[in-house]
Amino acid sequence: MQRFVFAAFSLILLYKLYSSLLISQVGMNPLVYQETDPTYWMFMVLGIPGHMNGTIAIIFDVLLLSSCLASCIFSRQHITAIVFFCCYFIYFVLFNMTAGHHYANVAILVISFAFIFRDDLFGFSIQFCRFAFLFIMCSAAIWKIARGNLFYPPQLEMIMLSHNIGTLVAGDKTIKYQLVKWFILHRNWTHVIWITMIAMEFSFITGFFTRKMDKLLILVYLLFVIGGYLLAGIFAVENLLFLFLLYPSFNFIARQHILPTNKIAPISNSL
Amino acid sequence: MLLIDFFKAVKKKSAVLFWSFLAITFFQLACTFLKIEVTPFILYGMYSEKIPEQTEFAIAEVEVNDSSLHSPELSDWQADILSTGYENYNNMLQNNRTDIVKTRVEKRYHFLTSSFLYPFLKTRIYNNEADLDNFSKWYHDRFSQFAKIDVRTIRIYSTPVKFDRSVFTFSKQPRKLIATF
Repeated sequence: MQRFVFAAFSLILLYKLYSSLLISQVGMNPLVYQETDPTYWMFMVLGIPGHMNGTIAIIFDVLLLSSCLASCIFSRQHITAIVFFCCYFIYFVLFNMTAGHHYANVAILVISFAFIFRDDLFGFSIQFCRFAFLFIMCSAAIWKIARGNLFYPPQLEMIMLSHNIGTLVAGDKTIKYQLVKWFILHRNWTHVIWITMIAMEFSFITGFFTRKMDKLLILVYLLFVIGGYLLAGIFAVENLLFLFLLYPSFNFIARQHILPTNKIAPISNSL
Repeated sequence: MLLIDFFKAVKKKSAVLFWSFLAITFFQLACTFLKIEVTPFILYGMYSEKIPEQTEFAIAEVEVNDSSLHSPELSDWQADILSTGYENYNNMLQNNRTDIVKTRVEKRYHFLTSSFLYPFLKTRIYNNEADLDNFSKWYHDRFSQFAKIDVRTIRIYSTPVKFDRSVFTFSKQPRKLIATF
């Protein structure tokens, strides 16, 4: 399990290395995007962004990458996973200070938390992360419903217009252009899609009651991601890793007769 | 219920783990109800605010060394860094060269601004004018690095666009130069 998950983390970090997106490569933006988040303020009070340059930044990136690769290669220990979790938390805050998306890509942060616990507690920590993922999806739906967005027809249309305005003005007649144009011209159908997407997010509440629906939730999540990409251009590759929390960790392991499908039982980290 | 069974099983296994998980759950729920973000306790309210219906939009165009830069030359993450960085810079310029977070905090959070800690905090947690000046060099460097070209000048234009839904047409207005780096 650890080998598989950290291999995926490594691929994402290597892509970031290739795209010059590690801290030593991107450097700290002088105009940080700190918002009103006390954690980001604490980093600034401690002067961490100011010190994260030159040799210190290179050492940090090497530690981040090597702890990830070591957790993948030497998967029967979790010391490197603890180091990785700490480094990734710092990277998450510093990168978002520069890039300005505090909550868009959280999968590595959430999933790596499960691996900091010793072997006999891993079964619980991975299930706790699964609940965290379910909460992310459900709360996203509840936010929209609570703010009266469910029955607000222009919402998805405005999201589509603002995200695709360049494509629409260029009028390139691509499939995406045709699709977006059709939805903008058919407001009722756009509203149906909007309600469906909120319902898809809310359906993750079933995961708090049973794991039997996890296979269906995988399909729902994939459809949700595809819909978000086609209609609004939202595509957070990293968040696809959340699927590890639904299928491979539970149903796949259950099929190996280690974990009863719908019972609480510890899972070994080294599986 | 699976969640309750889970907590019962954790309590049986380890009291420390049980209280840790409970504390994390409590903080996440508290932050959500109070609408405050304290990373890693994040709010997931993306796109939940009602977007007013509008017919006027703006397209940002970037010219590097006097020729247009096409976004496919950059990855999504790189394009995000450059566009968010610029928006943050522009917001501060529009706000009389003052960090918009500072303006917001001083308007809304009197309990914080009246505390004895605030004079110290405000020297540390906000972007200042010197940061604004340093931004140009950092922006040049990132553009050169991401687009893999030697960047001499960067010009950012905004083109207003009017949308007429009845005939599905977009009419472009003359573009305006909004920043030069």
